[in-house]
Amino acid sequence: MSSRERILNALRSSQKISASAAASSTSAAMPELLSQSGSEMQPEALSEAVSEPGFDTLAPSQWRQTFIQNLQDNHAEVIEVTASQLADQLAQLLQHHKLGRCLIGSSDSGVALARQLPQLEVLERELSNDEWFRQVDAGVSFAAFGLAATGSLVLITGPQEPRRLSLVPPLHIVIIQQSRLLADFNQLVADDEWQTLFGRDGRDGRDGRDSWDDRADRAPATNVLLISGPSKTADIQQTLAYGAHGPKQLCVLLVTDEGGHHG
Amino acid sequence: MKHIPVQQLSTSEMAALVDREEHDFADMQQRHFKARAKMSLENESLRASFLGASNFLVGKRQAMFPDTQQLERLRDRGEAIRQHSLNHLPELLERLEKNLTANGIQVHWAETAEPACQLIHTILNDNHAKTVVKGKSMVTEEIELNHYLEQRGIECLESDMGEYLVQLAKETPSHIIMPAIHKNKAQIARLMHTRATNSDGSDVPYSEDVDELIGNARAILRDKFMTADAGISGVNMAVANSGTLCLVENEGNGRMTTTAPKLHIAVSGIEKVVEDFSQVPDLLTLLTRSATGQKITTYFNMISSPKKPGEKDGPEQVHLVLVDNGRSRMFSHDTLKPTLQCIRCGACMNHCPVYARIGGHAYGSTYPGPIGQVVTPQIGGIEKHGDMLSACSLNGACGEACPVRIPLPQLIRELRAEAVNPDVDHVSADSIRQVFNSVKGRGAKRTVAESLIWRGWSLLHRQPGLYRLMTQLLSRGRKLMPARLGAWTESRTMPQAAPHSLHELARKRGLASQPVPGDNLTETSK
Repeated sequence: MSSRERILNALRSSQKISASAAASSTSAAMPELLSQSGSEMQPEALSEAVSEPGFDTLAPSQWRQTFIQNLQDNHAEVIEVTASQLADQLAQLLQHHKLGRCLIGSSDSGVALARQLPQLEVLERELSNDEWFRQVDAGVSFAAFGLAATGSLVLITGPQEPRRLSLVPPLHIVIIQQSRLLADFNQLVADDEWQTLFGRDGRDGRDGRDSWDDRADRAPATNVLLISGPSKTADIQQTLAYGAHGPKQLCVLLVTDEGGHHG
Repeated sequence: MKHIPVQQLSTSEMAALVDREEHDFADMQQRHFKARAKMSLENESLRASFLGASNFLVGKRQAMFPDTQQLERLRDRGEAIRQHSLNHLPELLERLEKNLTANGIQVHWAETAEPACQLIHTILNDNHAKTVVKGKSMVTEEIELNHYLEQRGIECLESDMGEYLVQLAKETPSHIIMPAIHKNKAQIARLMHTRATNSDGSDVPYSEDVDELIGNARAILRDKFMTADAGISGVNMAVANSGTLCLVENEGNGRMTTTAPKLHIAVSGIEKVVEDFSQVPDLLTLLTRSATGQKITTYFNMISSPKKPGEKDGPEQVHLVLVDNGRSRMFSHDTLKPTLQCIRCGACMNHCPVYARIGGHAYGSTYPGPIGQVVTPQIGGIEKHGDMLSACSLNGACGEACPVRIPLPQLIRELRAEAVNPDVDHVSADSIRQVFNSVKGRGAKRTVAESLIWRGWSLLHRQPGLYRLMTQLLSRGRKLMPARLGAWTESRTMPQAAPHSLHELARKRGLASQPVPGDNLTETSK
C-alpha cells in the first residue's frame, strides 16, 4: 500500500467511526461536525447562516476613493490619468525616476504604448536571470482588476505578462482602468471572468453537473497575483522597511473614464 | 532596552557575542522545559523583545476589527469553512490531487517527516539541484528539512528575512509569523556584520539602521534567487476545485522562490485544503488581519501550473508534497480534531500571557505558544513534549483570539487529561480502530504518587465520614502545617486552613442540612 492510500484510508476510517458513533448515539444534539462525515459530499454544505461574507460590500460610489486610499496607505503612489494622458504621464514618470531599461509585456496595449514611448522595451523573448536581476530598472504591467476594499491589483500573468515583470525590477508600474474596479476579493471570485480563469465553465451548478470532474480542456491561469503595495518586511524589531525582495516602489496609473473624472 | 554600546566593540568582540548567543541557544535547547522557561524569564532583553512584539501585534489586530459583531460573523465563517474542509478531507485531497495533476503539478504524499524529506531529496537529485532557496514554511521546519538536505550536501538558504537571520544565528524561529522576534536591532546588526557575506566576498558593514540591514540582506539574497537550482515553499491554502496553491506574504521572497528557479517544490500539511475559491477571500482576510493586523498582505500568490508553452518565465516543474506527520491521527480524535482547523496566523501566541513572558524558544518546538502546545505533543508524543502543557493558566485569551474558533483552552485541558490517562498508549500504527481517539504517548505523564493523591482526594469527597475527619484534622492541626510547600510557595504564601470547617460553622448556627433548591416547604432551621 502506498503512503497515499495509507493516509487516505486512515482519514476514511476515522470518518466512518465518527459517523457510526454519531448514528448510534442517543444524543440528539450530536455535533454537525460528526454527523456529516462519511456521507456523500454536499456542494452547498456550508450552512446558510455563514454563507454571507463577514464584511459588508462597498457601494460602487466608494470604490475609486477607497482603492486609492488603501494603496496609498500601503506606500504605493497613485496617479489618476485619462486615457489620452496615459502615455505622457508614463513618459514623465520614467523621466522622473531616471530609468534605464524599462520593460513592458507584449499585449496589444503594451505594444501600442511602446510605439508611443520609445523608452519602453516590449518583452518579446525570454531574458536570462542575469539580465532580469542586473539590467532591468522598471516593469510596466496591466492589472486585470482592482479590488477597492484592500487596494489590490489583480495581475494575471501569462505569455504577454511575465511573472517577473512585477517582481524583479526595483520599480513596478501598474496601469489599471477604473472600469475594472470591483468591491473586494469576494466579488472577484464570484465574477464569471474569474471562474473562466480557473477552468470553471459558466454553467457550473446550474444544470446539476459537477463541472470539476470533467473540467479537462481548459487549464487555469498559471499564476494569478493580488498585489497591494511594494515589497516590505517588519521582521527586524517590527520596524517597517520597503523593498525586502521585490519592488521597492509601486506606482499605479489609474485610468479614469474620459470626462467622467470627478477629482 | 539595555545593551552594550556596540559601536565600541571590535568585529571580533561582536563575533564572540554572536557565538555566545548561539552557544546559549544550543545549551538552552538541551535542557528540560522548566529550565528553559526559567532561563527565558531571567533574560531581560528577551522579555523586552517579546513584550514589545506582543503588544504591537495585539494592537494591530485589534485595530483591524473595530466592529465586534462583524468580527464574530467572520469568525463563524472561518470556522465553518475550516470544518467543512475537515469534514470532507479525504475527498477534497483526492480532488485537489486530481486537479493539480491535470494542471501539470506533480503530487506526492508522505506519512511522516523522514519519508517527506526523502521524497524532496529525490526530486532535487533527479533534477541535479544542489542549491535551494526556501520561502517561509513551517511544515519544513516541522520535518527538519534543512538539516536533512544539508547533511546530503544540498545548500538550503532561508529567504524570509526573519528566517534568514535565524538561520545565520544557527537558531530556530521563535514565532511562526515573525521568526526573529526574539532579537533586537543591535543583535541583528552584529549578526549581519559578523556572519553574513556579500556576494563579492566582502564583509557586511556594521549598521543598526533597519533599511540598511534589509538592503544588505536583499542584495545577498537576490544573488541567491538568481542562481538557485530549486525553490521550496510552504502553502497557505490549496484550492481543490481548481488545483491552485496559494501563498500569503509581504516580502516577495515567496514569489521569488516560486518564480525564479527552474524547479519549485511546495510542501503542505494535508489539512490546508479548501474546497473552492469562494471560501478563500474570508479565510485570507482572517489570516492577514489576525496575524499582522493587515487588511491584506502585499502579495497573494496563486499558482496553478508550471510554466506553460509560450510563457517567458516560471518554473518548468512544480511539485506538491502533502505531509501527514500525525495529522491523520489528530483527525481521528473526537475532541482534538479542531487542532487541524488552524490557519497558522499566530494570534494565539500574540495573545498568550505565558508566551509573552517565556518566548518561543522555551517551548523547544517548531510551533510555540498555545497552538504549539496543542500540535507538538500530538505530533511528537506526550512523552517527549508533554511538559509544555503545564505552561498555560487556562485564561482563555488564545481561544478568544483564534480566527477559526479553535477551542484552544479545552484542547490543552484534554491533552493534560490524555497525559495522565491510565490507558497507556501502546498501539501499533496500522491498527486504525485502536488509534482512534488516542494521542501518541497517552498516559506518559501519569505518576503513581499523583494518581494516588487524586484517588484519595476523590475518596475523601465521596465518604462523608472521611471528609469530616479530614476537615477536623486540618482545622485542628492548622498550626502544624508546613510554612513552605516546594515550588508552590516560592511566589505564593502557604494557604492556611480555617479554625473551623464550614460544616461546623453551619451546625453552630443551627443549619442541619442544605435547603433543597426549589422546595420551600423544607424546614431547615428551628
